[in-house]
Amino acid sequence: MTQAAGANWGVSASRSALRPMDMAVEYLRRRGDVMVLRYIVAMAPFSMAMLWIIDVTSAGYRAGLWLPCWALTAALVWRWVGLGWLQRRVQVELRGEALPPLRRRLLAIVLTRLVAFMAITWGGLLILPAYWGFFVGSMAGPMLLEQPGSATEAIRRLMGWIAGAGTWLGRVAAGYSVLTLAGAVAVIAANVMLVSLMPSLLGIDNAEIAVSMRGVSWYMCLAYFVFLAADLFWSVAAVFVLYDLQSRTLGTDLRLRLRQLGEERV
Amino acid sequence: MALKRQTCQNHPDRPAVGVCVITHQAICAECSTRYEGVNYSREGLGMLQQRRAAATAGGPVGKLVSVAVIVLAPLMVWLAYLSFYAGFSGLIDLIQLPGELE
Repeated sequence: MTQAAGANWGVSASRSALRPMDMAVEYLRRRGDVMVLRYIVAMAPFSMAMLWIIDVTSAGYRAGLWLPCWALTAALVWRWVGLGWLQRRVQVELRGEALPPLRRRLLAIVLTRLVAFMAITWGGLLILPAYWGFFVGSMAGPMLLEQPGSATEAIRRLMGWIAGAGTWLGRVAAGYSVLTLAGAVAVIAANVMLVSLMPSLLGIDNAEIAVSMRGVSWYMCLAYFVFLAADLFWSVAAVFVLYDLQSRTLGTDLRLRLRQLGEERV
Repeated sequence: MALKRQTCQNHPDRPAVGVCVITHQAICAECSTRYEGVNYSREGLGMLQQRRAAATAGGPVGKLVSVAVIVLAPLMVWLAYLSFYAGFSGLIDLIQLPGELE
């Protein structure tokens, strides 16, 4: 990222773990319409496969689980392509200048995300690989588009930055977990309100709707909805976390740039 | 004690105006090149270029890692499928557990 006018981001005394997420909220507030549309394109096949799996799982139909799982695996690759496209848009707007086309780094991004997925799922039992997989996977796209040359060198550099900011990233992960849990609690509370409290307060007979809203498939859909919201937020926040990691060598003021984006809109 | 004024490494008759961040040699204005806000001597710039070329090209280990990842990609895709199948299969067991307990 080139040096932009404004105060130096990385050298500021307060390096709050919530700062990248605060800026992601700010960015989504300004560009939420574009981001949501891109996210829908990225997640549409994944969501359809997930609904299929929810249907099969809630029916307890184990014999029919293999096909939707393969569909979900294929949709997972499309998801990574779509999120790369979404994150590239965030990068281009923050940099204020063009980036190389996504297709040049697409294979590297998908393969890096695949390795990171292995670390999160199969390495998750050991916790540490999941930590690495989570951050490397979410920042692979922006990093590979940002850094020219060898993809393995760029990922190695990224891992070096992650290793050097372990405590800070741990706080970022904790903050993100708390935000996701808060969202989940809000959704559950809204569900309880709709199913129990409001019908009894308003004297509505909710026997029929309660059959659906107390079912396994409903709760799985709610959990997936919370995942979608958290995933969109983190996909944007990961770009800001990467630039924060990078800011030690490249001083920028992303707040200034966000303000400029808002003024361009007006 | 007065500090001795430094002279350029390449031109001893000229005063030094800066120090190269790579070679740590004192250099005069003519020998100094400012790149990305930092002073370099000619040798220092050459070394910087070589380092960056080496970094972008990637070493043999990097190439080996790339080949290994590409070769293992189908296996990783199958493992991804397996993780989904195992996860949702376990969920079916959890859902059916209360019924079995009854």
